Amino acid sequence: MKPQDILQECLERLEQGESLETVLARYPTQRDELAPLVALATQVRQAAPSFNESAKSRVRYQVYGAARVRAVPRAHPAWQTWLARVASSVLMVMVLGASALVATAESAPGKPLFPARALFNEARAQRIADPRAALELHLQNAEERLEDVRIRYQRHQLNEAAIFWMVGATENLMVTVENHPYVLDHALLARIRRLILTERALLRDLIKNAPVERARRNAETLYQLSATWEPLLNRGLGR
Amino acid sequence: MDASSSEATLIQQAQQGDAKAFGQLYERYADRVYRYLAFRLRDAMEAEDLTAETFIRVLQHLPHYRPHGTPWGAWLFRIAHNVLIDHWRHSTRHQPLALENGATVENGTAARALHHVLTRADLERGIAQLTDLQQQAITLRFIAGCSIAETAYVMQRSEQAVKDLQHKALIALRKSLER
Repeated sequence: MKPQDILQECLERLEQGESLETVLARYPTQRDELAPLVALATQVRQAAPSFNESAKSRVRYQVYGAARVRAVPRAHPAWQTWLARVASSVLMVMVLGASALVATAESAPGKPLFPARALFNEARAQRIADPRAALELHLQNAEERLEDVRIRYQRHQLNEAAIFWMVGATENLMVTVENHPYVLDHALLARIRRLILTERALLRDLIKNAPVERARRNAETLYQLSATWEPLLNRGLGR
Repeated sequence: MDASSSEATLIQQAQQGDAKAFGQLYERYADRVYRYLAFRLRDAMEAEDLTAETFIRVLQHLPHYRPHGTPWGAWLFRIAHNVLIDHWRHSTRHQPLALENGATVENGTAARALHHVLTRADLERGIAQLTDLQQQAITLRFIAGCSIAETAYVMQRSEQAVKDLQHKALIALRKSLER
């Protein structure tokens, strides 16, 4: 019998509940070679990271959500639309005043006038009747909001409102995805997936590095909300 | 009803769209999948995300799973492995796992057989010295608790090759820790 087969036999016996001494006693001639390897395997097992309860319940929420949307079409949860509704009401008021800013150089992500232009574009997206065009504009808005947050974060100029607006823009996008899944194609899908991935990574980073506890908690709440985006996307594709 | 037949029933129910049955499969495997991903990623939050991604991908591919072909655990860990590879393809950042550097693993008979108590940081450093295949084998076998057959399926190698890898990995790890 080869040493690697003997080692495996020892490990199996340990897994079945035999004590180390009993297992090693079965192989007296190989004992000296086997003992440290079996011991090491046991130590590696004990070094396994644990899945803490709060992390497990966050993942459970995502996975169960995905399983439910696959099984039964569901009503749109209230929390998913509140950001969109609030944004929509505010945006309508801002439209006229902001329209003059659209083309200025100072309205790119990270620039002082960006929030006003973003509000204008978000209001415009809400009023577009063609679902494909609306989805594309929502996606562009969400990408710009994300870019704005990323730039501000790098410059240490990030404020919580910018983070809320970023998540709100992606929420608007996902509501459109859910209502009009048939307009998705592979190119849009890839962009949305990339957006979700990057935005969630940024939120994770904020959770880790937020300067104050309140900001960390807010980022954590938004991170949890963002957990349903991927399942929504999958449902949109009918998977 | 034994464990494997009840698992087969759960899989069948999940394939028919029973969310509750899928939830039970999640509860059975979530810890092991997370441990595997967290140990390889060395980042708890990324591991959390990829655990969710794994189960969502399992859900997507569930209609294609054939109960009489590959064992469920092996199939699931193959998906977790692919999720990890995809993640690494799109990411250049590797961070050390946030384990307490001074934390020691249990000091039982096994530890005495190794003549000294190792810290988790020792083990991490030692495992990081192994080849990627050896790391995969060690993580799947001892962290995720996969059987030799499951590990062989995930790594797309023969069972004998996995036993060889496991043996060589432990020898290399021992040498690395003794340095």
